[in-house]
Order: sequence, then C-alpha cells, then structure tokens
Amino acid sequence: MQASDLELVALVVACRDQHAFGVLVKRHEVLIRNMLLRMTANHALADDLAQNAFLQAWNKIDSFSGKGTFKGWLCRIAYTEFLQNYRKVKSTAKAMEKFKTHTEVIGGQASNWDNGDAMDIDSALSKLSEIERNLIVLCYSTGLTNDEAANVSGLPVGTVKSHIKRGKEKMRNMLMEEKTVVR
Amino acid sequence: MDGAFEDKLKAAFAKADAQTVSSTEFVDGVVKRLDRFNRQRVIILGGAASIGALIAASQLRRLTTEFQFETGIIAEVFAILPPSTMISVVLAVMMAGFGFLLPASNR
Repeated sequence: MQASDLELVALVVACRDQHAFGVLVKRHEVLIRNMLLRMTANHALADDLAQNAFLQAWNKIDSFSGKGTFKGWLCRIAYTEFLQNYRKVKSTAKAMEKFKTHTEVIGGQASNWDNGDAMDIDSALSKLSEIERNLIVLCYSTGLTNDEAANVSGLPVGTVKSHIKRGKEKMRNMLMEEKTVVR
Repeated sequence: MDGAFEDKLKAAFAKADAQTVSSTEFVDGVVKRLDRFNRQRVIILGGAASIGALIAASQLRRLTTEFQFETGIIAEVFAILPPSTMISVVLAVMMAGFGFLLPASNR
C-alpha cells in the first residue's frame, strides 16, 4: 500500500527523510512542472522554478499544518516562486513575447481545437492577462478548486471566480474562432 | 458558459498536460540539490562552531597551564602538541560533530 502524502510529510518533518521527500517529489513533479510550464511557456525555466519550489518545500515543510491538501500547499509555493522570478528577472515576460510570435505563426497554419493540442491551449493562454492565465492554470491544469486557487493566489474567492469566468470567455472566443477558420 | 466548452477545456488541458512525462532526471536533480544544501549547512555550521571553539579554547591559558604531565602517553602527546592547542583541536572537532548532527535532528 502506498503511503499517503500526509504520512510522507510526517516522515520528512520527523526524520528529515530524503527518501520520503523523493517520493513526494516524484508524485507531484509532473503537476508542478505542468503548472509552471503553462504559466511561463518556457520548459527550461519551468523546470528550474519547479526545482526551486521543491527545495523551498523541503526547507519550509515544518510550516505545512495539514490543513488543506499537500498539493495545494505545494502549488502555493510554486506560484510564489513563479511570482518572485517574474518580478525579479522579467525573463518570463520576454519568453512569453517570443512564444507569442511563435504561436501566432503556427496558429495561422493549421490550428485545430478539436485535437486539444497543447499549442492551442498555450496560444490561447498567452493572450490572457497574467492573473487570468495563472488562475485558469491553477484550476484546470493543477485541478485546484476555486477556494484552493484563492488560497494559493491570495485573492478573494469572488475575484478568482470572476477572473476565471472572464478568462474562459476569452479562451472560448479565441478557440472557437480558430475552429471556425479551420473548418 | 456552456458545459460542452467546459468539458472540452478540461479535456484539452488534460491532453496538453499528458505530454509532460515523469522525469527521473528531475527527481534526481532535486535530491542532489538537497544533498548539496545539507552539505553546505554542515560546512557552515561546523565551520563556524569550530572557529568559535578554537578561539574560545585559546583563551583557556590558566586551565592548560595547570595540567602538567611528566610521564605517560599524555606527556608524549603534549610534547608534540601544547595542551592549549590540543584542547582547541578537540573542542573544534566536537563542535564540527555537532554541526554534522544538528541538521539531521534539530529541524
């Protein structure tokens, strides 16, 4: 039987068990890397930030109170890591600009929403405002609830809901437009 | 917002996310960085404690001058290393040991 996240966290807190933490990393790395990839649109940067997020999690694991899920707590750390990097270096913005030009060309060729292509999603996400993009990623890519997304982003639940609604509306228009153009 | 679009959006995210596969390299990278972090901690803690011990022990002149050994192993060792240096080294090693143990037990 697999140990639960909470059991593994308890092992890490009590014994600084690196093996237990390794299991937690293995369990959540894809989720965190995907979340950061959708936010930054840059594979290398996303992986770097994800590594930093896991190191932060190791350092701060004592502060995990067990309220809420470990996944939500980890997403919060990863999101903070993303924001700090975004504010400090602004390299994410540069990468996003490059990505925009790249996807515009590809989007013009043969974008097919029915395929649910990653490029379509990333292209649509890149056209949203930063907060809309981040909240949609938190809810749809990492599978957090609105409450958890509010906790991660530090915004009121109502604000989160309205940002997500607006973001989805924009994505719907973009993706459905592309679909119409292709057909 | 219709349910069909909601379903499509969820499916599209799931499909896009499925393209990222679990990477052993990534996990190994994190574990290696943890090792490096712990090593740095040991070096910093142990180093600082050892330096402190060396300085503190070097101030114990009275204590070291009161111990006089004329014969035996201790006398032979003291012939090579003066008592004050000896105490400093022993304390420094002990402090470095504490530095090694602290990260594992005190967090």
